[in-house]
Formats: sequence, structure tokens, C-alpha cells
Amino acid sequence: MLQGDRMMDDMLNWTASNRTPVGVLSQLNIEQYDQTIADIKRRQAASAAKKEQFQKILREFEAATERFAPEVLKLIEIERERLMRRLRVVCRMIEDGLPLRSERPSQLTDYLRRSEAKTREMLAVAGRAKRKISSFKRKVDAKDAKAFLNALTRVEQLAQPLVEHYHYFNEQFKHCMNEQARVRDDGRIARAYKLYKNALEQNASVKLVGAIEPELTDAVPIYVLHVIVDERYLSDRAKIREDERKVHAFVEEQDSTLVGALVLHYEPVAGAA
Amino acid sequence: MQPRALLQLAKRLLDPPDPPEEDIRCAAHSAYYAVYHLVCQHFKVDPQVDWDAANHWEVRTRLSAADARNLPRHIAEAKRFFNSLHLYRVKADYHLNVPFPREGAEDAVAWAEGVFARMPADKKEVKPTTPEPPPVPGEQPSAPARPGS
Repeated sequence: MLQGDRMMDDMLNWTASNRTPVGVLSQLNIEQYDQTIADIKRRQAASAAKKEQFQKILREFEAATERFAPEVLKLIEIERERLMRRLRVVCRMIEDGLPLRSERPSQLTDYLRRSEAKTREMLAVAGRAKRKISSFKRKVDAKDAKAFLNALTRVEQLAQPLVEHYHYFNEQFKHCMNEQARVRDDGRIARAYKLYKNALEQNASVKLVGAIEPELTDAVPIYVLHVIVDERYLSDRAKIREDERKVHAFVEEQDSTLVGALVLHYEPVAGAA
Repeated sequence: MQPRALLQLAKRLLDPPDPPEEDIRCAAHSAYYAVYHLVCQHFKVDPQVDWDAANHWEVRTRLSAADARNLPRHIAEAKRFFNSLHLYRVKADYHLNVPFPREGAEDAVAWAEGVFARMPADKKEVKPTTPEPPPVPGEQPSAPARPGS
């Protein structure tokens, strides 16, 4: 499996867990509270019973919000950092002419789109619950009604930046994927590949110039070109270095900005090792 | 300390006929850092005070984008091998579950030697520009050395 796919798989595994910001916020189960508030409002029960039931769910809701709020904030930071890193690498690879060719980026945009929709829905439910409370607050304790409204506002304050977070990354990844559709043969690495291939093929010990694989050590990929050679050639490191110098000199002569763009990795012919 | 000292360390570590793997890894690590600091000096960035400009990917990006024709010979040589040196250093430092062969460290040292060998004879390695830290409050400043001591 290529490193680019592994990098995206790590992210997709994260999105499949419940430990994402939208996953944790969903555990608040705000729809259930909205429904309970509607039930309390509808019931013909005496005010005392209504007040008591309202207090009970208020305590539960406040406790749940206190529990989940710091975790959601922390997870937004973690997720943002991970998405940003991957976005940078994916966009860089597209710009270099070596796009990530797999279905993983579109799986990620599916997650981002669904999460944005889910968070918008939570915002809408919180707004609806606030309106319900406002319309019958004289039938429950005024202090409790205010506390519930504050707790719902707290949920809105968590959900709003989360909507923006998902919307931003959804747009950025979509833009990236649109760029990928216009594959660039003139990308930097695509051009470097042609020059290095040309230079390497002039060496009789080189049997095949293979594919480029990105190594993702940090935000800027390192592109490794696999070069298949005679096994005997591999044992003469000094000769390899001398020939490599000639390859770099050739590339530098053709395009002095592209020299060093690729790391050459030598492998024996399959079955020879 | 000057970057060349890191290359000398790398060579010392590979001097014995059969160095242990930890020494081989350190040699690759040191060879990379010798060149990294030389390139930082060329770009006039100091990793101690300006990490935004001197971090590894910024330096790599800047060197990659440069035109070798407009670089001093030793930095043009660094441009050829910087990605390779960086990759080997990452493997040496982080991929402890994958054996790191002596040949990898020897390549790294050879590349770094090529860089330093191309420095102009009259070029002095630049001292870091980081200013001296202020004295700790309450400490007596040390007396200046007497001439001839």
C-alpha cells in the first residue's frame, strides 16, 4: 500500500470512530431533550409536576454539556491539525504532478459533508428547543428556564465553529479534487521524472526505471524513484555514487531547478536478492 | 560549533571496521545535520531563533525551488542530495524496526563530504547570529581574562 493511501486511511479510521468532534457532540443527544421539552410543554399536568420534570432534565443536560464541551473543543483542534496536514500533502502532490490516485479523498469529503449536515441539524434543534422553553417559561421555574437557555446557548457555541470547521475543509478538499481532475503533466515532479528516467536509461546497469513513491516525512513529500539494477552493480557503492553524480549533472544541465527533486533508490532485479 | 564538526563526527562513527547499528544511525543523522546547518547559514536563517524559516520542510522547500545555476557550488551540491540526506536521517532516527545498513550511512557521509569539499577555500563558516543571553539577576559578572592568560 502506498504511503499516501496509508496517510488517508489513518484519517478515515479516525472519522469512523466516535472520537471525532461531531461524534462526541452527537452523544449529547440534543434531539431527545428537544422532544422531552415538547412533551413537558404539551402535558396537562400540574405546574409542580412540570417544574420537577423540567428541573430533572435540566440537571442531566447541564451535566452532559459540562462533560462533553471540553472534549469537543480538544477534538476540534486535533482534527483540524490532522486534516490540515493531509490537505497540504494532497494539494502539494497534485501540484507536483503526482496526484493521489485512490477513492480515499472522496471518502473523506463524504465524511466532511455528512458531519457538516449533522452539526447544522444539531444547531437547528438547539434553536428549536430554546424557542419552546421561551414560550412556556412562566409555567416552570424562571431560574431553571434561564439555566436551560444558557446551556442550549453553550451547545450552539460549540456547534457553530464545528459547522465552519467542516464546511471549510469540505470546500478545501473538494477544490483540491477538482484540481486533480486537471492532471498536470507539467507538474514539477512529473517533469523531473522524465529527465531522471532519460539520464538513468543511459546506464547499462539500469534494467528498469520504476515508479515514484512519495515518502511523507513531513508537510512536504519526498519523492523516491525506484531504479531496478543488476545485483552486482548494487555491491559497488562507489560506482553507484559516481554514476549518480553524472545523472544529477545531466538533469541540472536540462533544468537546474529540478536537480535533487527525486531521491534515487536502487533495487536488484526481482528474484536476484 | 560549526557544521563541519558534525560531518567529522559522522566520519569518526564509521571509522571502526564494524560499528554498532546505533553508531551507523547517528552517522547518517549527523551527516544530514552538517549539511542542514550549512544550508541554513547560506539562507541566513537561525534554527535557534526563527523556526518558522529554519524548520526542515521550509529549508527543503526553499532549496528545492532554488536554481542551481545561481547557487554557490557547495550549496548547489547540497541541493542535489538534500532530500536524500533528509530521508536517510528520518529512517535512521525514526524507523527503528527496520535495519539501517552501513551503506546508507556511508552514502550520507559521502554526499555531505561532497558538499563541504566544494566550499570555497576562503569561505569561513559563519558564526550563529544569536546574541549572548543576558546575565542571570543576582549573579556577579565574571572578570575579564588578563592578557596573556
